Amino acid sequence: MVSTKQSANLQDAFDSGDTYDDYAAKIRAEGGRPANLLEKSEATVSDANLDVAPFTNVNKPLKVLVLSETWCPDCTDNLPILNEIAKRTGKFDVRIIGRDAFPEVADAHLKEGKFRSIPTMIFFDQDGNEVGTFIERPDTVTDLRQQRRREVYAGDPDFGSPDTPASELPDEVRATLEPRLAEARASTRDFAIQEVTRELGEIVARA
Amino acid sequence: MTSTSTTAQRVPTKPAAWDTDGNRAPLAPVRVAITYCAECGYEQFTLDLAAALMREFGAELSKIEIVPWHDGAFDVTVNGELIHSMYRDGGFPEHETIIAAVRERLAATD
Repeated sequence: MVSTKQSANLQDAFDSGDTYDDYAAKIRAEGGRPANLLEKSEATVSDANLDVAPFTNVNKPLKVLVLSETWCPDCTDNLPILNEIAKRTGKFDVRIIGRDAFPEVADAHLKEGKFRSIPTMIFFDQDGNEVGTFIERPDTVTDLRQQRRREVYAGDPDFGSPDTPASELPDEVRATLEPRLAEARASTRDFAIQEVTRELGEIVARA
Repeated sequence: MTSTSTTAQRVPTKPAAWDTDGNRAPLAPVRVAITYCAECGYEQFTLDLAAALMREFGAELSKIEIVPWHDGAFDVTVNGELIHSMYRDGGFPEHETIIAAVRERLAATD
């Protein structure tokens, strides 16, 4: 369903954006945790979990303007998926901008009408019409992460309730719990790639 | 050394209880802990809140603890009591909310 006409403002934002390769280079140059996360995310996108079939029927390439920040883990999770689809199909022309540098764009694409969640991927057709928006991550991924988190807590009575702040756990319990939570989150990666791909496929099907 | 700071004089957080010899009564021990999601880019807000508590209370606080964690957490406890939870309350807390909770417990000198 064609909706909002792309404003000159959005076109300017798109034109000023980084390509994926330039943006990834920025993250790597800054180093630290985001650079490590990006490297892991890129390495986990594979033929086994990425189905590009829904994108091959797109007649004309779509523009994708992405709001991001280099510290954002959902961005380092999901941008490599978008980039891989773009590379394999040639159907997306991707540009990435800083959310905080473009608050007016962010405020026009809020999650649930109130949150400046990122990444926000805004899809446009060749005529500049907005055809859909992907924000942050699919709800199914959030639900699975929460389920896995609850399972970790249920696995050891020492961990107590998932609602107990980590600061109130004894240090040794925290040290045992922390890697299990990290592992639980990592275990959702394949599912997340499939679900992000599915949601992006639904957007392009409307184009 | 002459201070060039234009920062306003910090207002005492409670009327100090002075004894007849001019000694201040001890405050109740108060510990603040901030648990933040280390994957989520919450570092700056965590440090801003810690700095606000340092400015407001100085050495009146027993401890400010910062705990890096997972899963979108941003929890603030005062003496173990959960004052703000991102899961429960949504978003980040107002600094003044945490400061008020600390002030209340400092005043509880039993």
